[in-house]
Amino acid sequence: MTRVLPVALALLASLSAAAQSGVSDAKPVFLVTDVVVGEGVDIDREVARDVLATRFGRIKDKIEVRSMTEAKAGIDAAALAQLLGEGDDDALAKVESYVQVDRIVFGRIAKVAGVIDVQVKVFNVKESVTEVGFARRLAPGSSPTMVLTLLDTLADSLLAWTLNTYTDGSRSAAADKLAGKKLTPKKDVVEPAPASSGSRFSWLGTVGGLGLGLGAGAAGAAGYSVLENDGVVGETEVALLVTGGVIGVLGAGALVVDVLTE
Amino acid sequence: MAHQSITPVASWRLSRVLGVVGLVVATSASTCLDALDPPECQANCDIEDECGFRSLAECEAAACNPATGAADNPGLAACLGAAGDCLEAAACACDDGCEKVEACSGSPDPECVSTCDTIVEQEPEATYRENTCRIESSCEDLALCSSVSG
Repeated sequence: MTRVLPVALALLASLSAAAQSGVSDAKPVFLVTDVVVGEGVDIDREVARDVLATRFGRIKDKIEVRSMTEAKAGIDAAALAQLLGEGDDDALAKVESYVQVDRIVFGRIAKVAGVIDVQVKVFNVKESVTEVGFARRLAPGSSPTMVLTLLDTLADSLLAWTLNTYTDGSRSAAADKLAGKKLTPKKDVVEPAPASSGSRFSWLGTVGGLGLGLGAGAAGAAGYSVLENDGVVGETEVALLVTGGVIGVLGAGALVVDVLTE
Repeated sequence: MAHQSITPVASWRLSRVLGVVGLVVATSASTCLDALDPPECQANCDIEDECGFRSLAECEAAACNPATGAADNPGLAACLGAAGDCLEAAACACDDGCEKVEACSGSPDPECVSTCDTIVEQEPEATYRENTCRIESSCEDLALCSSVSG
């Protein structure tokens, strides 16, 4: 036990040193320390912490996230080595470097009158201030598994905040690749189809069809009349032909608009 | 043989009949043209397949109504149909994914869509798959949609 104490003190000292000297890594470094879980919430605190850390730290080329589970394992290994008389400066240096972080993430899951409150906060070690906090609530009667989903969404909020605040915000290579895959917008799925008709100009189809039919009918009637008159074209025939032609052209135009706007 | 001009009344009747015939022909043609269009949901699944989000079969099984061929989620379908590239398409599931979490938790998050858009720019495929999984799952199964690797 007397060997463990120096390790713990070294850990605290290294945290303090990191806070004072400032970690100049290009990537912001976070340590997810603890998620306090209140009574009546069906999730283990270590599980909650690791869910948060794993999801928050998944963009490894932009930010570095460490979980206290891993830090503890490192400290335990160093302490054990010292207890066995095998401790060396390298092991301690590894532990020290591991806990040199810019920011500490911690959280709390509490149940208040049936409502589960899940919150996470970021503590800036250098400036000794809480930089940001996010909270979500779970209504009474909700599925208990939703706590995991809320932890996911809070980890996403932390991640988006970190990306927007501490990185250049550039897209990943995978996103650039997808942006290069162009799509042709499908005209039939641009807007959700209304229940009754496909287009706001759909009435043009009806009017156009009617106009085209009337025009053809008038022209046909004029032609029939001319035939009956041995080819003599009277005023009635001319009037029918002109009227039918105009109505037919308008009808055809309406049909074309209907087809193009469908 | 006496030749008679068709009377105005007869010509009106004839043109009316032909008008009705024209209407029937136009309506039938329009219906046939509609039938030739691919079903909306299949078009969306083509996009998912083309962008590498899900296979055609997986998408059709999860997102399409087998009876009508229509998309189960019209909002997502409309967004996918209007997307100009696959990155835009990947962000399409953010709105409804966020809505589903809000509905299941009973707690709104005004920043959810903006958060999702930011993460889509880092992990587009995984984020799209996770959100569509949320949209298509029950509240009890929402936690199973999480897929983190890295």
